[in-house]
Amino acid sequence: MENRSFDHMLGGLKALNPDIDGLNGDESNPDTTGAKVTVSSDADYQGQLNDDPGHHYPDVDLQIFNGDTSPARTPNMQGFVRAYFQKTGKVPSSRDIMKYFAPGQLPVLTTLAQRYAVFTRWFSSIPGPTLCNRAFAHFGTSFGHTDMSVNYVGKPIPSIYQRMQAAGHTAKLYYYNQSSSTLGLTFLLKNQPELFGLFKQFQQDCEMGRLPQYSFLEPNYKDGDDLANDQHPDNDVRAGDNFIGTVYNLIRQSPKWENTALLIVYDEHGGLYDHVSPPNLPPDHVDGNTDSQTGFQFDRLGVRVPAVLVSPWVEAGTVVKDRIFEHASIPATVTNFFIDPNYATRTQREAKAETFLDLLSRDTARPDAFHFGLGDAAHALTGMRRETIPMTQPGPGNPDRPISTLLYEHIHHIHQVEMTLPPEHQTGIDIAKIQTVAQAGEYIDKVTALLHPVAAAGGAQ
Amino acid sequence: MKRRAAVGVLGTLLAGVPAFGDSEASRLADSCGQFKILPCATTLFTDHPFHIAVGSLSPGNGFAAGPALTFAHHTVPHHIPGPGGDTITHWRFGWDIDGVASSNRSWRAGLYLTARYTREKPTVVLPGAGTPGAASDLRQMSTVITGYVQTESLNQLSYYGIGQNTSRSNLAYFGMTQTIAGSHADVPLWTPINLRLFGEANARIIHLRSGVPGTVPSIEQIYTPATAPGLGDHKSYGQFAQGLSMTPDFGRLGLNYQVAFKEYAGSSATFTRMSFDLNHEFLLYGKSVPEPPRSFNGPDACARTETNLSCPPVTSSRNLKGSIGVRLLLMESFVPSGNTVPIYFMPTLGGADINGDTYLASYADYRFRAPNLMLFRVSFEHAVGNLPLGMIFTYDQGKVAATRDQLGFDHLAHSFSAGLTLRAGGLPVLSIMFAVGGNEGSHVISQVSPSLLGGGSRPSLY
Repeated sequence: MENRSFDHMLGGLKALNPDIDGLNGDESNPDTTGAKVTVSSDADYQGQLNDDPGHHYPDVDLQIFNGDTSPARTPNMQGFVRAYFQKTGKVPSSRDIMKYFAPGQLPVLTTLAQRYAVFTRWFSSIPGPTLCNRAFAHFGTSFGHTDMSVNYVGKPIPSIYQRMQAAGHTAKLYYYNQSSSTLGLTFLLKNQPELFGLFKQFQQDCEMGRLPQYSFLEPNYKDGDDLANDQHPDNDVRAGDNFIGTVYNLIRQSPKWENTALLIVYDEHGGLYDHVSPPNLPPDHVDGNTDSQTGFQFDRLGVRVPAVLVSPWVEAGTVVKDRIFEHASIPATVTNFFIDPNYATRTQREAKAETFLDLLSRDTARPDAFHFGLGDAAHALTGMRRETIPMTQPGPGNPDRPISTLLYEHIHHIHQVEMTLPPEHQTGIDIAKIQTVAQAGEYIDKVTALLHPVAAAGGAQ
Repeated sequence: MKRRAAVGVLGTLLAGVPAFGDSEASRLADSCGQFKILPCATTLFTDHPFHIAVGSLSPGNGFAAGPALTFAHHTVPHHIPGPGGDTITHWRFGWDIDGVASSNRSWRAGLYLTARYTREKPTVVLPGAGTPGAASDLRQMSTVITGYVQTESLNQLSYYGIGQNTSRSNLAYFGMTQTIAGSHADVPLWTPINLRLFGEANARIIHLRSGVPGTVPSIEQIYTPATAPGLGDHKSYGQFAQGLSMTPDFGRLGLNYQVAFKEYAGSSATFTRMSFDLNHEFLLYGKSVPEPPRSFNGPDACARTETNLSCPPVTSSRNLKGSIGVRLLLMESFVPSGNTVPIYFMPTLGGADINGDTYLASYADYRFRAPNLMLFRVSFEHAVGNLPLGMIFTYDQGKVAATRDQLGFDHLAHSFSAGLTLRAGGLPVLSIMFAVGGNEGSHVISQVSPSLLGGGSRPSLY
C-alpha cells in the first residue's frame, strides 16, 4: 500500500490497546506561525490532502529534524506541519498533516491489526519516496538510490523473484491492472513476463489453492474502471481498506489458508505525521552506499509505517513492539525460509534484517474465523453485532482531478523508459500536457502495452 | 403555454450541460487538424457533450447519422446515520438525446435517461470464513433505472409470412413508425453472481404503412390481416416485463443468463411471452480486456467511470480475447383465444432482426417470423494481432413456429458465418460478416452498432 504513516492509520488503536505504540492525543507539531497543532482523529478519506504531502528526501529530512542540519542533530518529528506548508502555502491546510483515522474509520485494517499481529516498529527503509523504498522489498537494497529512479535492470543483487526461480521455487507479482504493472517494476517488464499476473488471476489462484510460494500484490494506482485503492493521498482511503478486506477474504476462503501468511505493509509514510523517531542502523547493517545527491549514507531508517501479519499460526492480539523491521525484512524472511538462511548474494543490510516467521508460533492453526462483508449493523449476525464495525463505501472517483506527485514523477520516469524504445514504437505523447489522473492513466496504459504486450493482454498464465 | 413549458424543460436540462465552447472546439481542432484518422474519428463520434451519432437502423433502412448530446450530473450525497457510521446514498443522472436519419428517409429520435442509484453500505465483520468466491469482493452493485422516449420510422421492413415454411417469393415490404415511452429498472439482488431483478413498463404506439413502391409488392397487396396479423391502422400497446439476470464469473467461464416474462396488452390483441437467453463464454487464454456496457451509460455515452465522460483509449479497449461462446435462446408466446401476435411483435430469424441482432445470418433479413423461436449458436471469436480487430465465426441452428408445440429439433435451419469486428476507443462496433448455409444462398451483413462501445442499449422494438 502507499504513503500513510503508522500513527495516521493505526495510531488510534492505542486507546484500545496501550501496548500498541500509537497516539496519546497530545502529540503536536508547531505550524509556521509557531502555534501548536495537536493530533486529531478527524482525518477524511479523501479531499483533505489534495496537495500531495512531500516525501522526498529533503521533505522527510525536514519532517524528522525540523530543519536542524547540524552534525549532532537528533530526530524530533517536529517538522511535519512546516513541511506540508511548503506544499499547500496555507497555514490552515498545513495542519491537516496531523490528522489521523479513528479505528472505526478503517474497519478492515484495524480489525486485522487487533486480531492478528501488528508491528509497532516497522519503518520504511529510506527517508524518501516510493520506488527506492519498494526496491528494498524486492532486492533488499535500493543500490544507493534515494529517489524515484526506475532503472533496476542488471543489478548485482538478484530480486527475490529471481532468487526464488533460481532455487526452483515459484513467485509471482500480481498487479491490479495493466497500468499498475509499471510502478517500481520496470526492471522486470521486458524480461520476465512469467512472473506477472493480474488481480483476477490472484482471485482464481486463491480460490483454486494454487498461489505461488511467494506473491507480491500491487493495488490499483489510479481511478479508472475501479477506484484507485492504493491509499496514496488523495485517493479514497475506503477503497484501499476494502481492497485489503477483499484480499483477506480471498486468502481466508482459500483451501490453502493454513499454508498462507499475509503481510500488509506500506511503502513509506507519505509525509504524514508519526511520533516515533526513526532509529539509526547498527554499523554492521550498513552497506557503505552513499547517495551522491543528498549525501545520505543509508545508516538510518525512514518514518514508521503500518504493518500487519495475518496467519492462522499467529496468536490473536500479537503486538510486535521490541524489534525493528524494515522493507529489507521481506526478502530476508522469504530467502531464509525458502532458499537458505546463509544465502550469500545479498546485501549486508538484508542479511542483518529482522525476519518475522517466528511470529507464526502456534502449535495448531487458530480455529476462529471471520470475514468482511457489506451490510449495516442490523444485518450483522446475532452474536456478532457488537463486533460490527461499519464503514461507508467510497463514492465515485474523479479521474479529472490533477495528478499526484507520485503519478507526476512516475510518468516522467516511464517516459525515460519509453525513450529507450525505437521511435516507431513510442507513443508520441507529450507528457508535459498530462494534467489529470485520466490522462496519466491513458499514457501509462499505452507505454505498458508497448513495453510488455503480455501484460497488456492480461498477464502471464 | 405548452411551448413555454417545453422551453422551460429544455432550459432546465441544458442547465446541466457542460458548456460547449473552447474545450470541445479545441479537442476537435487538435484531433482533426493533423489528418490522423482515428483521433479525429474518435473526437467526432464520441466526444461530449456533442458528437455525431452514427449507426445502422433496422436492416433494410440503411446507415444513419445525426447530432447527439450527452451529459451527466450527480446529486449531493445523502448521509443516513447508522450505528457506528453513515450509509451514503447518491444518484447519477445521464442524459442522451439524439436524432439520426438515413438515405431512405428512415429516422430515429430519442431521449434517454439513465439514473443510477448507489447506496454505499458499511463494511461489517461477519463470523466464519465466508464462501469461496462469494463473499470476498467488497465492491457493491447499484440500482439502475432508465427512462426513454423514442420514435423510429422505418420505411422498408420485409415480410415473408408466418412460420418456417414460407417462400422467398412471398416477400413483401411494409413501413412502420413506432413510438415508445417507458422505463426499465434493474435492481441488484446478490453480488457474488451479479444476480439482478429487472422490470419494465412502456407504452407503444405503432403505425404500419405501405412499403416503398418498387419491384417488391407492398404488404397489403398480397397479405390480409388474417395472414399478417396487425396489418391495419394505428395500434397502441402497454408492455410490461419482469425477469432475472445473472452474470456469474467462474474464471475462464463466464455466464450471462436472462429469464424474462413479458405481457403485451393492446387495443386489438393481448398476449404474453416467456424468453430464456442463456449465454456461455469460455475464454481461451484466461485473459481479456473487454469493454462491456456500463450500467450508467446511455446509448450515446461510452464513459468508463461515473465521473469522467471520456471514452476509453483505443489501447485499453482492444478486444484481445479469444473465446468460445455457446448460446441458447428460446421465446414462447402465450396467446389467449381470440387474440393473435401482431407481426411487428414477432421475433425473426434470418440475417439480422429489427434490433440489429444477427440470427441465421445466411438467410435474408427477417426471413422467418413467428410468435415462437428457438436458436442454438456456437461462436468463436479472436483478436487479430495487436489491432482493435476481432474475427468471429458462428454456427447457428434455429427455427420459428406459429405455435409452441411446433418448436422442436426437427427441420432446423442452419447458417455458418465469418466476419470481422472493429472495437476501439468507445467508437460504435463495426462488423462485416459473410454467411452461407441452408438452401437460400449467401448473405453479407455489414452493421454499425447504434450505441457506442461501452454504451447502453436502446429499447427493443418488439
